[in-house]
Amino acid sequence: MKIPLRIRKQFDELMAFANATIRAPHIRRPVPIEFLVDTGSPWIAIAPRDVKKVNISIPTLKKPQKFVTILFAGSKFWRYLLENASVYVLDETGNIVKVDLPAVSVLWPTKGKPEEFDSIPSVLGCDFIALGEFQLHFNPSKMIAFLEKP
Amino acid sequence: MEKEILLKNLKMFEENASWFSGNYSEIVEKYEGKTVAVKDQKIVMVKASLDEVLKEFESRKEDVGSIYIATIPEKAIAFIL
Repeated sequence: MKIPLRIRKQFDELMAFANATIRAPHIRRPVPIEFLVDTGSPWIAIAPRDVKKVNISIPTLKKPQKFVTILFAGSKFWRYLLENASVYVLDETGNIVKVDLPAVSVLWPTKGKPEEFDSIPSVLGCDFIALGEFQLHFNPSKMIAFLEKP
Repeated sequence: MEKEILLKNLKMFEENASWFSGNYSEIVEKYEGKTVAVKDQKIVMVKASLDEVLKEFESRKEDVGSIYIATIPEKAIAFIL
């Protein structure tokens, strides 16, 4: 089973993106968001712009016991946990694939206005790839990118 | 029903996101620093911020489920995540 990824040239280089809808008790507007596939991130993380889009109330979330502050895109963020989350993506045949995660990280700036960070994408990190038991295939020179579950 | 909406939104969002990606360089040239909304594979709204876009859709009582919204970074700035 394959999850196609979208390749876009951004900042003059080819990068892989995925769409996903996250459902969790604290998400009030469960609509699709775009994630940059980022194996440099330990976790799937929702950036401030998508916190607003899916309408998460930050004060209702818990902070983790470990790694409470995150350096991301040159700025410092608090990390919160969106517990009992399900991530929905489309496979190559257009069917829904669901991946249950104990928590999805939610990032919120430690200082500054959240709108200053609206260009920063949410990221699909290593926990999603590992817990979903996916293999990541990325061959930008041939415009090939997908997640595969053998 | 819920699954049908989820599926429909993901498929339409994918179409809008793909259109955005295919036209990314032109969009960056034209809308640097702005927030754009893509619906039915065309730009339907351009505002100074994401908050303004979300507020406008809310005031129209329009569902953003299938709408691709992006804030275009300034041309001189790139991110390393």
